[in-house]
Amino acid sequence: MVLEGTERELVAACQRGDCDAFRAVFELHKDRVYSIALRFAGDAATAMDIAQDTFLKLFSCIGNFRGQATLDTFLYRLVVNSCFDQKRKDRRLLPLVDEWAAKLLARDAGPGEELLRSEVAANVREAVEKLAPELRMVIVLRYTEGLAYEEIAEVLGCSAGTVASRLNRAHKVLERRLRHLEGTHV
Amino acid sequence: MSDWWKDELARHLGPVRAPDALWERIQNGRQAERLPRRQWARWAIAAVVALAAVIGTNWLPSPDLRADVVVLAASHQPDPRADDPSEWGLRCAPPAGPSAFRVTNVSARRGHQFELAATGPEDGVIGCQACHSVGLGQHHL
Repeated sequence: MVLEGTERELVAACQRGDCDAFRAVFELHKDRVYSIALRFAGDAATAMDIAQDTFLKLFSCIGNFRGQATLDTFLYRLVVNSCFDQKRKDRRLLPLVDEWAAKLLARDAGPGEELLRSEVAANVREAVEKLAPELRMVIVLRYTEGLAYEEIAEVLGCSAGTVASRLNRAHKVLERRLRHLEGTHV
Repeated sequence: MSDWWKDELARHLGPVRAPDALWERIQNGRQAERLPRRQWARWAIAAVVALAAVIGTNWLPSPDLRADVVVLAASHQPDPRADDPSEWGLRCAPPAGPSAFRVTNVSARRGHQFELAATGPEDGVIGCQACHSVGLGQHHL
């Protein structure tokens, strides 16, 4: 069992159906869940859907949580699965149209996105959004959450070597796509 | 990838605060009522593009075909098949009128093959092998 005392108590309270405990878990983890969703999906509306889905899943299946992993890891797995589920639901049949729509709506970006206003930020985000989902997820977990290779591997259910390989591939793709911005100071 | 880029990635992909409305949505436990804005815009643009494509394909003039007609009016090169319309490869009745058609150009557009012919400097006759019809200078233009 790897749960810390407070976390264990919180989980136990959630398992008893304590609403305040649910709220406490939400407050502890909402920014983390939303950040992963936003960086993966690229837009605030989809990120809200993913975050909502993640917490609903957490609250509905927390009774089955036995503490074999930390609540963090458990939650990371849920949000990763929600991101991939959303991606499957939201198949982009018209990527070009998607880009136009994103540009049209860029003026109405959601909260927390003001940091992405600069040209470099927009280019970085766009390049990350275009990565294959498996590569994008390791980038998000690495750079948004700052997880170590082993932690990412535990969340994704693969080896640390696979994580390293995916990160390496993602870095190469991003470097190629963003080469023209190298040295730009924002 | 250089450290500079890794720093940039960490900087631009950093964590953000969740909107306050998130808890309300979770409490309500319902799906979002709206069609996501981005999806709405996507389908609107897709509809406009599809409509434009349909109009462009069926109604708008084909610049290349017009150019063929210009060539048709200017050249009038005799064609060995011209005296017998059955040899043109058109599976449609030739238009009534002067019989001395001269095929001057062949052009394939949008899956239809057209044969262009002229009876004189001003006339252009286009026969379509796909729809078996002919028109005097205006067919599919």
